[in-house]
Parts: sequence; structure tokens; C-alpha cells
Amino acid sequence: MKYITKKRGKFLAVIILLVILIFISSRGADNPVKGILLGASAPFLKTFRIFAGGFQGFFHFLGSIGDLKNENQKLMEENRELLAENARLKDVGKENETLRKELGLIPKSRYELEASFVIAQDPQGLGNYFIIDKGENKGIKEGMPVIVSSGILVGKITEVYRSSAKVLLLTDQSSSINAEVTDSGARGIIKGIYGLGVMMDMISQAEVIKEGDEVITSGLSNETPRGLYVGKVGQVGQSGDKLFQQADIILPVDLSALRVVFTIKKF
Amino acid sequence: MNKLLFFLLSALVVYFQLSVFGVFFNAKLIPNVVLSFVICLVLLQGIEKSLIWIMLIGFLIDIGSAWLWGTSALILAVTSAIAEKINRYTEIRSLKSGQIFVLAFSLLASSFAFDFLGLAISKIESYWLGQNIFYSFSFFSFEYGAKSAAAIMAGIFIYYLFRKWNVAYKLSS
Repeated sequence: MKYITKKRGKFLAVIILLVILIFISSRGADNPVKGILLGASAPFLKTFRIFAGGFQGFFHFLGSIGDLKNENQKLMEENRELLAENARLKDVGKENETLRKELGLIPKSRYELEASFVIAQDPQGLGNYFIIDKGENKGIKEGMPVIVSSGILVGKITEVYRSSAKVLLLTDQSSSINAEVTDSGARGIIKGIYGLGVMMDMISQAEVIKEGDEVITSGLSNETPRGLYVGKVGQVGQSGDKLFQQADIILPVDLSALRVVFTIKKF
Repeated sequence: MNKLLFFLLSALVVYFQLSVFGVFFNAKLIPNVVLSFVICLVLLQGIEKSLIWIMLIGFLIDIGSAWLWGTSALILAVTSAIAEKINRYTEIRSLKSGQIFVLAFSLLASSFAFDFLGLAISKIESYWLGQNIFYSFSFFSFEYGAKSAAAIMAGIFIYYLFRKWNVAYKLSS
């Protein structure tokens, strides 16, 4: 037994202890501990994140001073165009209201939203989920959809603690959401591709979908409302067994750069 | 530096890893500074004396991790043991540049070991324990190379900072 020295014995004891701990954690026993520690850490994480965001903004501003003149001119031109666009959109707004009623879409203003700061991201750097600073105390529940301000779906709540919650992003392999292509009405399931992107799967062969079509949530499950924007159809292909069509989805937002998100509590 | 101060420093590094780095880096380019921090501590004072710190830091990182509670500590402990072994076999004390090379090599090997173990454990947790955790990346990609290079540079900085502060002596006294 000379092989097991005091040092090795200590190391082995720690390893065995940790394996037992992991096993206990797998039975859900770690949630209260994680919740307490996350609750205690949340104010620090939030403060650090806000300060870091401020720093980044400041350096970004310094770097962009040279471009300000050109940018200003561009913005003035854009402003003129937007004034004209605004007038047109007022008219389209009325039409949109009628269409939403017909399609059974809920006006976005009727969602009960909870604004939250992103306070921490995946420490393994895979970018498949992040932690927000609102939890049970603000009525956040598992399965609630998470959007960015303009109604773009980014993920859903998977773990809830007292004052924080974990958001699983669309890009995660285990994420799956019912979706629909607006032009053709083709339905399918939005899935993450190994954390690298998003695809729409299980689209019937009878449906015609093309690059550039827009994809929204279909609202088939009770957890996600109909009409949340997911992205645009990219390349269209066939599933491995050729039974369904598959399409790459181009997301409109960079999921790793989110700072503030909204959880839909009621729809 | 007493133990309380070192604990606060460890917590600060973990909080930076969890919150601040995500603001400046793309998710796939975030260097594993916590790992570099732990490895430097292990290389300076040995794994036996560092075990308690490895566990503490591992538990802290698991606050924001998708892994089960204790997984980070387990991976850090095994990675540290590997790093210590590598360092013992390759140590070149006489040359300063050689020492930096050995340190960089130990940090690189630790980074590979950490991610490989993470991959293995996440697969075990997924299949045997019914958890749906997915951990995947390409070891041979630009992102992984850049991430590892940044972690090595951070590690060299931390190592010399620890030596300057005489962390090993102060933590054991």
C-alpha cells in the first residue's frame, strides 16, 4: 500500500467526495445551494457587468470619434428617409392591426414583460445560456420565453432561483421551439446546432420555403406566444432520411452581445 | 496576503470570468482565466496545499455553470494534478526563458486537459445521470487557439504576480 501516500490519499479523498457531491447534485439537491450563492453573487455580477459595459462603451466612443462627422451626415440623410417612412408606416400600422386580429396574433404591447439585465454568461465560453438578474421574486417561471425589446425571441427560462434565472438560448442543442414561415405558413421546429447556430427542422416536403422568408413562433405550445420573430430562412436542404426539409435560420441579433432582455410573463 | 484576501481575489477572478469577460469578448473567445489562476497556484505551492482553494474556486465557478454542482471543482482538481506532473517532469529552473516556456506549456496542456475532461464529464452526466448538458467545441479552430493564447498570457502574468506577492509562503503561514 506504499503507492497510496498521504498526498495521494488526500487527493483521492477529494475526488471521491466531489464525485459523491455530483451524484447528489444530479438528484436536484444542488438547486437551493446554487440559488443562495447566485443570489449572494448577483449584485456583484450585475455591478461588474454594468461597469464593464460602461468601459466598453467609452472605449468604443473614443475609437469612433474620427468617424463622427461622416456618421452625422449619414444620420441626417437617414432621418429624412425615416420621416417619409414614418408617414407610410402609420398607414401600414392600421393594416397590421387588422391582420393581427385575423391571424390571432396578440399585440406586442399586451405581453406582460419583465426587463432584466444579463449578469453572467456561460463560464465555459460556449455561449449557450446566460443568467439574468430576475427570478422567482419577480414571478419568473421555468419555460417562459425571453425576447429582446423588439419582440425577437432569444431563448427560454430553464432554471429559476430566488433572484436570478438561467436562460437557455435558441442556439443550444437541447432548445426546440415550434415555428412557422410567414409567407408559406410552413411549420417546423427551431433547434440549436451544437451552439453554433439555429435551424428549422421537420418542415413538410409539401411546403415551399425559400431563402429570405421570415420565421415566427407558431404558438403551438402553450409556453410561447404566436408571432415572436425568430429570424430569416437561410440555406434550405433535406433531412438525413429525406422525410423533411431543413433550413438554416439567420438570427437577427448577436446572442452573445445581449445586455438587457425581457421575459414574457403573460401573453 | 492572508487567506481572506486571497479568497476575495479568487472570488473577483471568478466574477470577472462570469460577468466582465462576456462584455469584451465573443462567447467563444473568452479565455479561461480561472483555470490559469488555479494552475499558477498549484505550480507554486503544490496540489496538496491548493486542494481547498481548488474546491472553493470550483464551487464558485459552478454558480454560473451548466454543469452539476461540484463538476468544475472535480475538473480543476484533475487538471491541476496533470499540470503539476507536467511541470515536475519538464521544469527548467536555470533559464528564465525556459521557465516561461515550461509555464506556457503547462498552461496550454491544462487548457486542453480541462476542456477534454469537461467534454468527457458532460457526456457522462448527459447519458448516465439524465442531464441535458451539451459541451462541444473544436480544438483546432481559430477561436480555440486565440482563447488558449489569451489564457496562457494571463497565466504568465498571474504566475509572476503570485511570485512577487509570495502567495505560496503567505497562504501556508
